[in-house]
Amino acid sequence: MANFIAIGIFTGFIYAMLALGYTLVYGVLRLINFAHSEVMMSGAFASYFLFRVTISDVTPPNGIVSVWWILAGIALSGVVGSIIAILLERFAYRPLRRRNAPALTYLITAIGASYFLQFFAGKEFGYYQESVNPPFSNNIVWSPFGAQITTYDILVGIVAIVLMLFLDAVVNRTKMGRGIRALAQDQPTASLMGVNVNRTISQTFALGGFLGGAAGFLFALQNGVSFSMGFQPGLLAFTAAVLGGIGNIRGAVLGGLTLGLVETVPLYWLQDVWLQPVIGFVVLVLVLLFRPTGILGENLGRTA
Amino acid sequence: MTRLTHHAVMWLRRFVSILGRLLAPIGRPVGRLVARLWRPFGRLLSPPWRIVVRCGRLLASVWHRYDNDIRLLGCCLAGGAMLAIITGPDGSGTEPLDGLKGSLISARVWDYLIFGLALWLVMTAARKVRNGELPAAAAKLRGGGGTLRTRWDSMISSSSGRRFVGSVSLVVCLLAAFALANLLGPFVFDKWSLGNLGHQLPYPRTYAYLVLAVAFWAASARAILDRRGLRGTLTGRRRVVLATVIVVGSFIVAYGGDPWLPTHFHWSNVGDLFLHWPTYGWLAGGCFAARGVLVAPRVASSSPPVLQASMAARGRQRRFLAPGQAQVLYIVALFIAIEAPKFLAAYWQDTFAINVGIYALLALGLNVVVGFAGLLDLGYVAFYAVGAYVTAYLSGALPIQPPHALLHLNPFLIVPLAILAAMGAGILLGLPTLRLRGDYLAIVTLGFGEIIYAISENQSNWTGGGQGTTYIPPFSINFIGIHANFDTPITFYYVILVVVLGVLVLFNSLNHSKVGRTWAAIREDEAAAESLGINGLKYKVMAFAIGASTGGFAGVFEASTVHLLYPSYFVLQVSILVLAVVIFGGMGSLAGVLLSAVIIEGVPFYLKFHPIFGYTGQDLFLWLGAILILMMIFRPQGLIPSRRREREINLAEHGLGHADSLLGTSEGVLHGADRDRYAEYDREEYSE
Repeated sequence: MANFIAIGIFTGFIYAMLALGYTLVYGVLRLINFAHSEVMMSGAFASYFLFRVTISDVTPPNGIVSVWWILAGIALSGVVGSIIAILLERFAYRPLRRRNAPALTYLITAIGASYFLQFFAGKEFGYYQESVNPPFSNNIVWSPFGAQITTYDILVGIVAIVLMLFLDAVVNRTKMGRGIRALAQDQPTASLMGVNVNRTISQTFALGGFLGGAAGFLFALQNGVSFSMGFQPGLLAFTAAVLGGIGNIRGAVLGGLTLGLVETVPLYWLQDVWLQPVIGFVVLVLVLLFRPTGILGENLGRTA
Repeated sequence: MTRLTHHAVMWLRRFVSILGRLLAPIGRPVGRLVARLWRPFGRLLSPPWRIVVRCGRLLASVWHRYDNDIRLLGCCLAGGAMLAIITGPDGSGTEPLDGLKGSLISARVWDYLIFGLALWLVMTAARKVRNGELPAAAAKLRGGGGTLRTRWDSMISSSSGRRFVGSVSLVVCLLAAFALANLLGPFVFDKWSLGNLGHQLPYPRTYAYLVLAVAFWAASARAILDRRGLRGTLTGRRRVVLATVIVVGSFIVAYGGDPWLPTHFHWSNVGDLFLHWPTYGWLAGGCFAARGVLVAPRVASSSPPVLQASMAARGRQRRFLAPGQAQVLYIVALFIAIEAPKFLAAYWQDTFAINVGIYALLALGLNVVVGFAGLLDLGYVAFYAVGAYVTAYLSGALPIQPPHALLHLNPFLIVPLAILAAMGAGILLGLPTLRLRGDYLAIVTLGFGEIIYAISENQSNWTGGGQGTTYIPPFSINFIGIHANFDTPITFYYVILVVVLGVLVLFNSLNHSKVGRTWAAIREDEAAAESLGINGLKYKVMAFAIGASTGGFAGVFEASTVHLLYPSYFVLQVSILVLAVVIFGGMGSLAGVLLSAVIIEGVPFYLKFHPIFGYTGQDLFLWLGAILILMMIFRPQGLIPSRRREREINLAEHGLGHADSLLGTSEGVLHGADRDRYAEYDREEYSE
């Protein structure tokens, strides 16, 4: 039981990091960015190639060396995720924005971009799964109440918390974050007040992409990389964003953790792993039925 | 930050000056020595150095002046390389970007790069002309005189000049046809060579391209001459020769374009030519063209001015076809749909029956959701799966049996039950979701599709799991005296043709009924519609349920024609494929959706074994993704737009209404002044 709770929490951290990307973009553009799962996938592939070249799969490095490699992996996958997200915005969404296209067009473009990137990766990197050479040796380091917490879990926790604090600081404390918040509240007024709309939207995508790429790195360490790896976590992360309240950054984190727990803990009784995503979607429908604004409430600017 | 750099620079400077002062006694003589030794080299090197500097300046100024063009060039070339990678062989985790491996000698990569370059040229030229940066060309296009135009006029008014222009353009057309034949031909080798072109010669396909090029050339030359009122008079004998050439040419095109003949030309195959319907099509076209040559055509300027004016007005209405023409086309299409499959090979009969037929039905259903109601359903495959598994259940093909053996039904009897089941699922899913923003529907349906897939994959004691179901019987009629089995592809094709036609008529009248008008009202302005007493939720759920039930209907066909169901038939990709069919054809346009089902389902089957455009399995979805993005950016109204939808999209882009019902009532309501302004725009643009 305790083990399931631990797994739920650490899965939840990854959902939370992804959900932040969804919620930021939804807040600014009112768009479900389906291609965000492919941003995560590209980040994972970046770290996969980095570690395939630099790290032997037989003897993982130890100590400070592995810390450096982890940092390098996070930086690389985050930056690659940002780049893919910016390119996505530049080539897929900006032409629509320039034309002031209807919302349905955005959604269809998003799903098209998601498919394009996913199968592009499949074509170039193969339609199969590969495991990532871990830059550290994975041991059980702590077992409170019988839960088995590994090095990997600790890594996920630390990275997720640090990046989420970083994001919170950026959005709430910096000029860029003020621009993003202004855009989310009222785009025409924000542009009248001197916010560069195109640049701020690119920055939003870059921020979300960095977290998404880093989440892809963490996810790939455990589950390996494949062209379609992003699909299911992406879907569940959007569910998490809705669960916490779409557009709400702290809500996304809370929603991610809640969703991770809610979909993992029942497995203790059910014993069927494939039910995990099913529970997630049932939760989504229930949330939409009973509390459509999410746990912490929507924060789309209109209500704020 | 800047202060930090400032300090750093200060400290560096101080450090350097102290170092210089310390080293001065040694430094000065050494410096002098170095300078003396360098002087001859410096004299030698100074001209090239100056050239380098000048080149750099030139580059900088070019960049400064033409940076947009250069950026565009970069984009086009990158796009060409991207296409080359996409169409190239599959890579792998150990060898990514295999598509470019050995790239520069492969004809493919060069072809695409040249394509990118050409695209760039066209785009830049078009932009420059539009902006008036190319004055002569711009003047020529605007028809406002200019030296180029007069020179051109004088050139084509003399017979020798006309001959020169004609022969040069003919050669260009022929070369283009050759290049096209080379790129599209199934026997192209990977390396670019002249021999490659030579290898195209034994195939009639090449001649078909050449004939088409000549026809294109002749038509455009004629059009140019006609416009100038300088059309050369054809003597009687020349006319006969031309007509004969056209008929023979249509033979060649028929032979080359017929996919069911052997690609190598042989005299013994000529007889087979007449077994295939494309021959008759091309011959009819050729005879029609020949008749046009033989009977002296009307001179364009002699048609009465009233007619010209009405034609101009019709042009302004931007109508794809006149109503009478459209009806003729529909009848021809129906005729082809009925007759064509009889002449096709078994592979194509199968393709048309299963892929085109079932996907046309699916796309018609999704069109109700996406096109009519303006919602997005990404889990459409779930309803398809529901229909298919209900069929499997009621025909006793699942591990769980229906409660009574009498319930083993014929698929015809299952149809209403499957439709009910899918409709129920649609209402259950739509009702909670559609109360909120419409865009949540996309993600909820996506999740629902995954749930259905997960259940069919993992609940093997219900669905058989990865083992699949047992045999599901085909459609059959076992009535008193009548026994028919719709088991072969061709009979099944006619069943599904009848169903598609029925659904087509039904949805067409639905779209023109009160319900269709309500959907349009909700799409365009939900707040206004609700203020008129329309229950938006009810109609949205209705559209969703109708779409879902059509999906279930298609599921019955799938189950009873493939006979064994596996969960892998119901993956998300199917939804995306159907969505691509709807988007490519045109949201809300029934004719467009049908045509696009034929294209998107037919063309991949034709290209599957092509050496350059051949793809392996899943690569299809790469192209579908690209189609979705490109259509949304460049032609959101689709191949054959529904006029109402096109108008809505245009209006929404100018700020009036939504063109979809995703965001609900709370956003995008305009204020009075804006509304008047856009209403004016609407009147100007769409007045009849």
